[in-house]
Amino acid sequence: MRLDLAQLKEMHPAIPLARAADLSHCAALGLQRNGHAPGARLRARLDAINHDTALDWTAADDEARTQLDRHRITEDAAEAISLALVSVALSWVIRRRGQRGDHADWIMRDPEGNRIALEVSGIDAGDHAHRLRDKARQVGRSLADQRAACVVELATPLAALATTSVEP
Amino acid sequence: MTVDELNMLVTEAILRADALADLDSPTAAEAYLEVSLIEERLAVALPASDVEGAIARRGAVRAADIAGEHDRARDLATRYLAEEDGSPELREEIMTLIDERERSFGARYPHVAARFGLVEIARVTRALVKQGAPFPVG
Repeated sequence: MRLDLAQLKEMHPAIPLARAADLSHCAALGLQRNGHAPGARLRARLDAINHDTALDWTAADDEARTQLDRHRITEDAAEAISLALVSVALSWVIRRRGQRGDHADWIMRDPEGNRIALEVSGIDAGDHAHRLRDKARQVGRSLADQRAACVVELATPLAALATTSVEP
Repeated sequence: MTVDELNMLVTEAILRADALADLDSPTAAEAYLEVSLIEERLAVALPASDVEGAIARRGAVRAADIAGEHDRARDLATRYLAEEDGSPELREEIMTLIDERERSFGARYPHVAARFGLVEIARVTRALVKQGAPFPVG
């Protein structure tokens, strides 16, 4: 599986073009900050299944990093990788953005028409499993058909996605 | 306007409002009001029983509240709570939003809240705004 982070707009037509470009740019900066180059392997874990994945992106000028907040780069890089991952691996597409306090960053739609609340978080390095549990709890309060949390750790890099269906 | 178009609009509006809020911009409130108006349009287009319809209803109330448009938030909440096809979860979320605001007001102005009650304060506020002059209160 290959994730081309420069193709976010093509993967998710509903995302604003400028936002897609920002996310791709931050992903490049965040990954390069951690010593990675285009073509890097991503350890992707979708629920209990591991996927061999490669990341492609348009290399960014590292000098641009000084103009952006470090935390924002990490969060936006995580968002770019998560959105590419759920598009390529699960064929989810963005329906709309969630408001702050809505327990989810994005409302997605799967090929069966289910609406999925997706909460994304990013870290440079550290305990992604703990963060994933926190985010899964947070998104568990959303109003969608299904809920998913995705945590991206840039140092490895790895992406862990946990999904839960709503009990009838 | 289609639901897809409204979804794109609300996405752009939310991203913009959040960015302005992060900058402590004085125009953030206007941006959240715009979010609320688009969410309201989505709520008209989608039933409360639909997931996106429910999210839009909660979003319309939440964004109005953040914008400081408390009367609008309460009016929308009243309208949405009266809909028969709304889920218990949606009703609870909307009631929580309104309760949170009232608790916040009560904590900020405890004596006023205790003496007159939030319902009466809201009524007087609406009357003052409607008559456009401070006295007499209707």
